[in-house]
Amino acid sequence: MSEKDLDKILSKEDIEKLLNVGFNVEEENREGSFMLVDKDIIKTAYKSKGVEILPLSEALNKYDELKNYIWKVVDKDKDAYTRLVYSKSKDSGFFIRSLPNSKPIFPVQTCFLIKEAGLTQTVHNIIIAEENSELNLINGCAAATYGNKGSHISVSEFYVKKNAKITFTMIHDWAPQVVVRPRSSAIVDENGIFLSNYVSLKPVKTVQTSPTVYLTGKNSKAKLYSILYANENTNLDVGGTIYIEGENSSGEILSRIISNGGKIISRGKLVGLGKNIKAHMECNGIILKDTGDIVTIPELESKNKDVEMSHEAMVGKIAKEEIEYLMSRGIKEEDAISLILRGFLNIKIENLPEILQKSIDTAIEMAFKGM
Amino acid sequence: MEKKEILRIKDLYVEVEGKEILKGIDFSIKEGETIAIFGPNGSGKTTLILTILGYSGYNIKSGEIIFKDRVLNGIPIFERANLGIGVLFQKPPSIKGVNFKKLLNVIKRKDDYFEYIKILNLENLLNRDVNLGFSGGELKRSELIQLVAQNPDFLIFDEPESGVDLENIKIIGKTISTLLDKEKNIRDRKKAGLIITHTGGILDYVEVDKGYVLFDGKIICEGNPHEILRNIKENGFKGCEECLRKI
Repeated sequence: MSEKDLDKILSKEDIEKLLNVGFNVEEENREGSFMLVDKDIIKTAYKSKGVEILPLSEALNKYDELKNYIWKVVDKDKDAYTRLVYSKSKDSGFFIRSLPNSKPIFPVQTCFLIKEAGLTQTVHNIIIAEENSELNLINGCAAATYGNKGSHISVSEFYVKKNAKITFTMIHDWAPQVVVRPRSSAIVDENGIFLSNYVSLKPVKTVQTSPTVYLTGKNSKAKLYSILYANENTNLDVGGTIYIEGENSSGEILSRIISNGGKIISRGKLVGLGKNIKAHMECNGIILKDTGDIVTIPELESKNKDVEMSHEAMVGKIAKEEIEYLMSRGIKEEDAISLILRGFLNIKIENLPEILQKSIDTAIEMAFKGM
Repeated sequence: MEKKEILRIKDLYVEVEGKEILKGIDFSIKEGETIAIFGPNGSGKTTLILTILGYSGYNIKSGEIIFKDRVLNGIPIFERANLGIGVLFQKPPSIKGVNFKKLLNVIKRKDDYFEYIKILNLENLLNRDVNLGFSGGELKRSELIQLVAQNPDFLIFDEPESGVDLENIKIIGKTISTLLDKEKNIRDRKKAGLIITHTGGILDYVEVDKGYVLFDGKIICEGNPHEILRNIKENGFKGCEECLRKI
């Protein structure tokens, strides 16, 4: 474990910004923390016996068997970004694992902060939930200075073992000139559950991400949620693919998106391979300005007759009837709009631990503050 | 002491999507007074309400709406609400993701609405999304609690009895009466009310001072609300046209 003096590294504004993406520097109600600022690992700490958090490089030295996990679910040759991470990944990123049968109460928090102008931050993470364990992870990503350029390129590999569950909640608050390319994949064993929530409501130059989940075990489940808001000059290309192989398994992709002048592409692909599987995809979008752009690209593919697969999509404007209704109760127009939009983004995520739901709620409240 | 006028509608002409709906409406309501407006479907009842509220798409071609000595024409909806106008909508929209309790907290102008949560049997709805999946009776009770929280001086009720079963109509009627100060002595009544109804059923539960008949965008009859209702029941709204000659 290593810990440097946080006060010297983080400004008051940094600390507040991190809190708004779910990272609590005081570590209240957290099982453990990992913090990367630019290229330096600032903090690796854990209180619980049930979880283990290490810099990935250290974990690779400590555990020989990690070679069976690294670059196993994400292909290092997938694209230019994975290749870049492959060439640099020794530097940064984390290894987090929940030990067999452990169910820590609080989430583990991780954060990636960019402070240096023009920096390319590359990260490689491995996350494992061992058999019968549960791991709740909150990952906050932020850029310290609003005007700075920068890029964040990451690879995350998730392993959900038999009867285990990972809940991964990622909240982004970058800056208008930052380019973001996360590449993640998960593999889920028998009775395993992988739940991923992605929240991006603040300005960013471009985000392109589309996690892939392989439901290999019987009765396994995956749900991918995204909550997106794009102002002008923000480009979000967010998707998800779930390969449903295990018998009786199910996959769900759900997104709520608002374009306030920005461009959003929402992709989803569900592939039914196993027997008696279920798959559902839902995308709801609101477009607030003519300059905005929303594209939804849903795909369903089945290689089996025993499947139940569906998708629905809706893109429209904000309902005037609802705005005027709230105004008739004495609420100003801009406050009525903000209330409706916050409500629209407020997906009730099933089985999400309260702390994670609160972090998402906070991010939504902050995004609409002073709108 | 003569009561003060709270609302006056002066020679009001309103167009919706280029079509003239209201064709010269005149009436006024005093403090402590409740009026009922009867009229068949399409007579302009809802247009009248939404114009008073300032909804978009309801274009005043001429005439004035004066509330508490202030001309409302052109004033945004929320300001009218804050001046003291509140409405129970016939078909309120639902708002996904917006918590009902949270909305009440945003709109409340007094805290004693809490007791009405119990009276209106709303405990189980408080954590739901506003109006989402509510039954007919639940919608009316949701609208009523919002009015209680808002505490307006002038209350409009659009078809308060529609889609409501007998059990609910008693609670609704009683709450409307309370909101309109009906339990107080006539001299002490301050709240004013406008009830839109086409069946008149609500008159069994709420005391109304005066009735008007709206027909094809015009007020064609005014008088004792019970007499008007009896006349409508016997002769239909067509029968009110006879009355037209009297005013």
